[in-house]
Amino acid sequence: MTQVALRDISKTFGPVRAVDGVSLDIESGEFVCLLGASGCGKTTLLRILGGFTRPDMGEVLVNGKRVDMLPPNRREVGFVFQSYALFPTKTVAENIGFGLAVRRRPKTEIAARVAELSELVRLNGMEQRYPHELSGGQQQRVALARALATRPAMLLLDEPLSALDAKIRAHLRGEIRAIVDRLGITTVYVTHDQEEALSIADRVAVMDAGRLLQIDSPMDIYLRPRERFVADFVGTSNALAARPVDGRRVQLADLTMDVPVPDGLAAASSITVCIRPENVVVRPAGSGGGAGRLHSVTFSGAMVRAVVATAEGRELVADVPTHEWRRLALRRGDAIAWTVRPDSLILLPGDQG
Amino acid sequence: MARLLRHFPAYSATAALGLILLVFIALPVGMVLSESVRLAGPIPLHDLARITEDALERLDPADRARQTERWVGSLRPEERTATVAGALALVGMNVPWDRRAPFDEQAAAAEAAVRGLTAAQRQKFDAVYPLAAITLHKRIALAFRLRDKLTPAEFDQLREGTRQGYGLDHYMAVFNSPRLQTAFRNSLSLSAVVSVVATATGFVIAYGINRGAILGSRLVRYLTLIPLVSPPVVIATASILMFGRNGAVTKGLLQDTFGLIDADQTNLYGWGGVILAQTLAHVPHAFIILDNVLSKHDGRIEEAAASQGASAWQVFARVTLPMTQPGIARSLVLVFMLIMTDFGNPLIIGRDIPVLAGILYDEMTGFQNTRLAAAVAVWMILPALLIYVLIERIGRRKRYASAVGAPPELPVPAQARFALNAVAWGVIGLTLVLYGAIVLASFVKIWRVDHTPTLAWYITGGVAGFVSEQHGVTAVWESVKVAGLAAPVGGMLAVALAYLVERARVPGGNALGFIALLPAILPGVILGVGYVVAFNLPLGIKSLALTGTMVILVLNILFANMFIGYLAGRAVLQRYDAVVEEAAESLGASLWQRFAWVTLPVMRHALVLGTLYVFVHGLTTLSAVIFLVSPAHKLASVEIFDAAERGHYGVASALSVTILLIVFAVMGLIHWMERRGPVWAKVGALAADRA
Repeated sequence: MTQVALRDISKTFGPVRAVDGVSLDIESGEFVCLLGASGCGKTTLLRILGGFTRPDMGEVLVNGKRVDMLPPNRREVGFVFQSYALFPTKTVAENIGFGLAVRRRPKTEIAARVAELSELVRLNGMEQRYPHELSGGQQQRVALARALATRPAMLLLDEPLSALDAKIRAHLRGEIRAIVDRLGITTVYVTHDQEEALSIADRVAVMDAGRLLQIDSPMDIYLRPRERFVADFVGTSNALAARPVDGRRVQLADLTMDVPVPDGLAAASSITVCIRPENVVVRPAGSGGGAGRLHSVTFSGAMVRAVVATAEGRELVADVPTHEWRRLALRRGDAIAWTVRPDSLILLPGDQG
Repeated sequence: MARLLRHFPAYSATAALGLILLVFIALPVGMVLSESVRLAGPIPLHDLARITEDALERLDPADRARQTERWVGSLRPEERTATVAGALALVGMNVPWDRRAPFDEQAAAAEAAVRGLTAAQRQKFDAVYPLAAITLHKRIALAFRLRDKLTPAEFDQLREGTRQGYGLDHYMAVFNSPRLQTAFRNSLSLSAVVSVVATATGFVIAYGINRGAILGSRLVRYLTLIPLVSPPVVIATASILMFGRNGAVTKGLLQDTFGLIDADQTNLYGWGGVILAQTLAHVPHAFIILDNVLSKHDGRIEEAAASQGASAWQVFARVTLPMTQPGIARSLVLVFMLIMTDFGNPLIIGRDIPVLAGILYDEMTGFQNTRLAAAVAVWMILPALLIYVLIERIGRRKRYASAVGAPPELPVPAQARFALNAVAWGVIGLTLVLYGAIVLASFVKIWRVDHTPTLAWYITGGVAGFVSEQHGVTAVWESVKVAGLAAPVGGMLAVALAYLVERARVPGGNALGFIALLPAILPGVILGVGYVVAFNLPLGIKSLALTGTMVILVLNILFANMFIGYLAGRAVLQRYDAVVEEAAESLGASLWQRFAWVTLPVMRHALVLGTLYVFVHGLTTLSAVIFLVSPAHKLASVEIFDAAERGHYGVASALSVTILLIVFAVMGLIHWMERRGPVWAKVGALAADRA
């Protein structure tokens, strides 16, 4: 069932179109990530959901009712900020209980709820501390507990982990997802970190320049991007110009591959093919495929990243598992042959290479 | 050895700078403290009686009884009369006759007074009469009789009845003398009221601006700060022009036009006027501190509160206000301190409300009683320091500043918006009206009497025969000369000191920094009194005396105001990577080359700021230099004060307007050269940070 519906939302700040005609449905209990580079409008969109920013155009519907004119204190959302935004003058317990205190709930009820949430975010024993006495990770747990304390209908998180270091980030990401799953609360999560988005969300919405480009499951976003931007932003991709041949094959450099070409692209004289580095296969020269030369080699543990200069003068990034690379025994400057795994090709319209 | 050689330039520069700071800041401040506990002159009767009694105890009992009887019996008639007066004073009664009257009148009055005593009073009187007699008239005989049993100091004290020593007597005067008691109470009440009102007003304006609720907020910011760069007593003078006995509003509008009040009765003289003038003059200080604090709050915190369901009022009361509390405390203390030590306004419109500043002014200029003045000066700052220490102890040093400074995107409710605008524009409107009055008064013959336009106050008009004849605004040029000499030197010294402390990290650097900051913590009067005490007769050598010269004015203005340049310099250096400096050193640059070629260009802004601050404050300061001016070397700010105090508003206005124009012109020029936003807001932010 659709809980939140955004209808054609636009918002401009001076000359900047921060959000440009975004429509989006969010199911009840769903975990949606808004992913994009900084300045793409994802935070503005989230703040429109939270009631802090009023859209210039469009409607926000929650359970079918318009809410875009309601101020934040009447939205029933829990908001977690990038800067935590804890009340510095209040203890952890007072921070978590704030929403209930302003609703004038009885003291005993507040105490019980604070205890329950401290337990949930594993902060028990720290209730009497002040925010500045906590680590960044602990502060963000308090912010999460505070956002959940009033049992909001929706949880909104604005880059909640970006101020933390990598290890804590990965750990806390898992915890947030676990807590959200346990509570079954509808969640919108803003991030610029594609790995974070792919690993945490049910659906990822990729944004650029205020527009919503694609919303899909993480797997589909990665394997079947519908725009060049999405393909480039999520993961690494090699973009090459290619030519469709009678709807079933694609001519790429001197390779011809059997790939079903969608109807919309079959008639085009030129299309763009995106290839993930792990789908580029490198072999010693003379084993068939495109000709090229090893331009550079970077070792990164499990993988070796090889940059191939093709005969056409393009650069192709290939990721080769380390164990396989040792078998190949190639060195920089060697002539090589390259091919791609045909089933992994991403076909996009236009000559965007 | 190599280390010493490498650091030699820095060490020697520090030593030189340290010596200068010690002589021109630490020494005067220290001298004020030592002067305030120095005692000299006749010992008060009560103390002298106690000393005499102690001495009597040392005679053996038989001798004591015999001598006492002989001494009392040998009193001459006039000595007897004096003894009666002394004995009455010792038992705590008033002496009911005029001690300067002809002798026979006094003798008769004394006999009458003794006859008039009740039995109980008579008993007490008789008990102390012999002691009074010996204390007043036979001390010398007693001293010689006891010579073997007394130390030389005790002997001298008993014989002379005077003392040279140290004690807290001048401080106790605040409790003992009714005149000082009243002044102290008035000062405390006035400071308390104004600090609360000014802080509240400053908070309203700062909050309104930071929440985008004020119309024309950029303009409001500029206008609010005007009193900060104004010459002294502008607001008091203007208030008299508008609200005095013959004020445009009180007499012209309310009495003559509407017949509502009698301006002779209802006017600003008194508490209301002083509070109003002091509030208007000190709102900028509160505003700067609170603006600085509020603009550094993370707006997301208030948004978080709103998102939690808090109403606009709840967000304000439960989140914004507690977070601003440290700034509010600092503002209260700063304004309290400023009002305690401010001369100008209360002396102009509150002469019937004695305050400590007035007493100090009288003691310094009227009686040359620097010792009592020094103690009063310390009393002026003690309460504020005490409050400050207390706040620090209770509340730690809390700061809720964050790097993310964006204000919250929460609309201010319409009524609140209206109230914020009303206060902000009300205060600014009143301020502008007052400044307008000053400008008008400077261009007419006599305010509200003869409105013929004239430039006389600027060119020839003067106040004859005070310290000396004065024509037009000539005193301003003297001020410009003094401030113009002090400013560049002060700026350079400040930046050099900042560099030595922050970058060269010389030993003792922090102590020097502390000395440089003393004038920021201590009010101008301390340094003013200190310069008089320290440089009147330095080391007892007449030819070293600086008082009465222009040099002392330049030095005082320089050292009292260089702290801003020092703070700005340190702030710049803290933001910029020391490695650049080390790179220059590794390329072979000497200390001087590093400073001049690498660091100074980076610190240029601090240098400009520091120089500007010394210059502007040099033009407008009153409290320190008022004791240092001399007939040969007058300053415009002091002339304004003198003129306003004696009712020559035309002169005061013309001088004020000229100074304002110069200050605005210089600030405009710097602003144009730097193109980096309002210079004064930066100075203010620094001043706020140190408070």
